[in-house]
Amino acid sequence: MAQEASSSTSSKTISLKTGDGEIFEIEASAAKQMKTVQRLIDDLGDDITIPLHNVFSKELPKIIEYYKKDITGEITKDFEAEFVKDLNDDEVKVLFLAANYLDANKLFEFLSQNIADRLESKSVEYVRKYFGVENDFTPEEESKLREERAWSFRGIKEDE
Amino acid sequence: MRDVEMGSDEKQDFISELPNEVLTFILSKLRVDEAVRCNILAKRWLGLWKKAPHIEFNGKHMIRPVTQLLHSRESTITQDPFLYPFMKGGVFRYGFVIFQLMFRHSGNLSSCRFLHFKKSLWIGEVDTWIKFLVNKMNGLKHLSLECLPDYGQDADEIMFENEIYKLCISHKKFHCLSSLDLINYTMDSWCAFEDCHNLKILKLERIHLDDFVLSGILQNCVALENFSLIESTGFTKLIIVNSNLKILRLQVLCVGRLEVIAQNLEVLFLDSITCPVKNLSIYAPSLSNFESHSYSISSIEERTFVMKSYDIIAYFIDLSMQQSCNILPKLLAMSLDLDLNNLEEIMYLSSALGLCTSLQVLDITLPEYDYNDFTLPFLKPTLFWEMRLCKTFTQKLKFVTIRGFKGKEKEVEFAKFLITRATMMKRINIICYDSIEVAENLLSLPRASHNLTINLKCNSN
Repeated sequence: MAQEASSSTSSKTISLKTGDGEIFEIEASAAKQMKTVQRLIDDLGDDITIPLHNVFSKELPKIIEYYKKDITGEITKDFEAEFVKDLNDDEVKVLFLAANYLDANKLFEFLSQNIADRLESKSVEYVRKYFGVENDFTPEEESKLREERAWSFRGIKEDE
Repeated sequence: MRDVEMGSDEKQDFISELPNEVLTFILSKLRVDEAVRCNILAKRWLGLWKKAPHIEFNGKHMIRPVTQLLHSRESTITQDPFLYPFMKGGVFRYGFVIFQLMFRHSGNLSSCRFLHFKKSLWIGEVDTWIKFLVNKMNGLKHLSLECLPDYGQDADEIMFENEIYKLCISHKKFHCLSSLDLINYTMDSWCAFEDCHNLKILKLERIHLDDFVLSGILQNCVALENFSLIESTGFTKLIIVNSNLKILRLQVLCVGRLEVIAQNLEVLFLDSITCPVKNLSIYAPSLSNFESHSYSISSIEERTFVMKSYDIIAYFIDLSMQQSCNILPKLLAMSLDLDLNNLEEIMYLSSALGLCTSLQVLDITLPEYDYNDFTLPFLKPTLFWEMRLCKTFTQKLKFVTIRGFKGKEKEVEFAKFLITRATMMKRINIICYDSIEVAENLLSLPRASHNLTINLKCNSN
């Protein structure tokens, strides 16, 4: 509530160009929350279009939406729940990687928690697939490790 | 255009190319059994959980058959002189697993959370975990302890358990922490808080402790900036004297006396406090954000004894007349549970708002149950507000929220007054109880502020 009282209207907008060539506008105060963008602004100036090679037009609008709400102090649990409700696991992963690239702390933390929630009670194979991890243990090594930590395998639910 | 689908080879390995810090960040959000399970994802992940900055030990997810425990490879630990007595004593199984994990962690833990069963209190296990943790993890800053109710028990029953289940932490063990949460305990000693010079954030929820222990804790936590006391009992008075305190949150408490002396307090949140208003005393010259709620308690009987928002507002109005620590003129934001259709409450609200010369944000929640409406004697409705509220109020107010709006006459008048008179208002949110229709004609009123957005929402989805 108090955040709303002290928010100032900044009319300065910054142009961002995604890796696939589309241009989006965000307010300067939102850009401040993404450290990578801020660094580029400091280096290149805020009048030119900032290029973001690793972020694409599919995810940038969502990120902009999040930070638009953040600067007015309106991020609530309901908003966050709604934000991720219709995203599938891969879309969350892509947003997470983008947030990491942009060094957007708040969104990064929120999405990490969401990924952790989505991985809750999933099998090891599912998590491997999700992270794109190649299993480099031999079958003997793996079964030994599983046995030693058998207590941690009780909570797994069936993969869908 | 680059393919961002899962099937693409380029994206496939991208997550694994992230640095360890990012991966351990995700690991710390997982429950500990899942984080440990990630050991076998691939070689790189083996032991990665040990570097995670946060661990959550949740007893419910850690119960392990005894037979596997006996055959575990942790022979080094069972010989450890510190831990062996616990092994011998038939330690509660998950407690041993917790020791294993803490033992093998790399030691750079900055945050830890325990959810354990009450039996662990009985055998002194919780104290031993804390001792071990504080000794090994030099950088430990945040700790959260919660006692889980046994199957079939309510959370608040734990507070009143007999002697053997109370939380006993050794002398000074909390002194390196900067943030602490304690949930569901009975405490009869404050010695763990001795010399707690670093503690900035403290939350006590459903704690049973007497006046002596409570005052011992408060007096030792001199650096406290954020204090929450929720649903706790056993003490008759609450006296808080702290010049560092910035945020104070008191919820569902019953005391005979409440005193707050906090030079730098900025945020005060009171919810369902039972206390004789004459024994209420608040000295908070820096207060900018005040919230008062009394509708949280569902039982109508209990609600009658709770301090209402207008009681506290009346107290603030008194303060302004005595010229001692005048709170209302400095408030930037205020949130109240108040019935806009009740004459007495409106009188207090209007007097208070007349003194709020800096207020920018106002949030009012209307009660769910209905009172009888009153009729304003001989005054034209908007005139009522206009006469009582100073000009600066209508010039400073920026954001307003009214919740539980039912479209009754007096509520509508208040909303109408704000829309047609508040010249700097940017947004007014009206959250309707049943349907939006009751508020729709507010949209067509002439607006005093050019930038005004009127949002209508409905509560029942």
